[in-house]
Amino acid sequence: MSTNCEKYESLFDVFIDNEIDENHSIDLKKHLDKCTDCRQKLELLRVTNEMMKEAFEEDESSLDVDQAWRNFDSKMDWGPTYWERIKNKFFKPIVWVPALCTAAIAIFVVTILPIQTGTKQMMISSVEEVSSTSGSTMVLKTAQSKIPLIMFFPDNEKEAG
Amino acid sequence: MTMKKNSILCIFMLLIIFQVCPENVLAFSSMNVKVEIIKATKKSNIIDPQLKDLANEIAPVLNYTGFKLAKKSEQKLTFGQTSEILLSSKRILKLTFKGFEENQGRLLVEIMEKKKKVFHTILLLVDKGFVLIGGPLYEDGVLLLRVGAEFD
Repeated sequence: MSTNCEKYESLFDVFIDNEIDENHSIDLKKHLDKCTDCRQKLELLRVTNEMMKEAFEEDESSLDVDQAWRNFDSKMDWGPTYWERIKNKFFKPIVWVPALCTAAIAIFVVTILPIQTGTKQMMISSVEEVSSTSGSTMVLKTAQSKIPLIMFFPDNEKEAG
Repeated sequence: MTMKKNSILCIFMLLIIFQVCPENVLAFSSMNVKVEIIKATKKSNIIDPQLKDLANEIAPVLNYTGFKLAKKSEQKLTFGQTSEILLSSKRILKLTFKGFEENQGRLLVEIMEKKKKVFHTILLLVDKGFVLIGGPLYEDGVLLLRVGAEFD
């Protein structure tokens, strides 16, 4: 390879891209007419260049970014998400069944049972009014159940007693 | 798993029923009035087996030691209806049902002596509850009246 060839080789790229100025283009064409090596090299470079251009165009048109991300994501092991971790921790059926039963019993004991017992405690008969025209009255309550006990003392019996 | 879910649902349903339907929501139309005439005395220690619970209630309040059931009467009364029970030769117990109010039945109790009212009280009786009336002297003790009711 001559020094002259090296000089022209440096112009191959701009020549292929049509960015070469006219004077250099004329000189290069004259050299290519005479030099077989350079002609072959230029041809090889042009073919390679076209192949690469085609390959890039094909890639750009067929690239599905979403699909590529999904493929990438499926191949990666990210581990459980935050929600999945909470779900796994608290929403296991084995935990929920006894928890719900306990909650139901607790609700029953804390709220309903005192209401029911309270109602029963309040279920004692009472005296609305009491009076006597010929004696005195007194309202007492029994020792255990606090049941009303009305004591009536007729006047004639007091006198007699 | 479905069975477990169903059992939990059942528990909650029962709780809701307990909460929503208390026993006093039921409506009544009439009252079965039960009157027991009891002789209480200090001169005896004999307690009628039917009155053991009553004796335990009364003994600490009144110092009677003997309790004997002299008479038992049961009357079904509807609103405004009156019934009479003979207490002694000159005393009559008069019962008048005055109606229900919430979960209580109002009962007017009067003791008549020679057609003259000597005692009167209005009782608010709960279902299967009772009130005691004591005092009129009888032989060597007093008469106790246990006036109870069951609602229909």
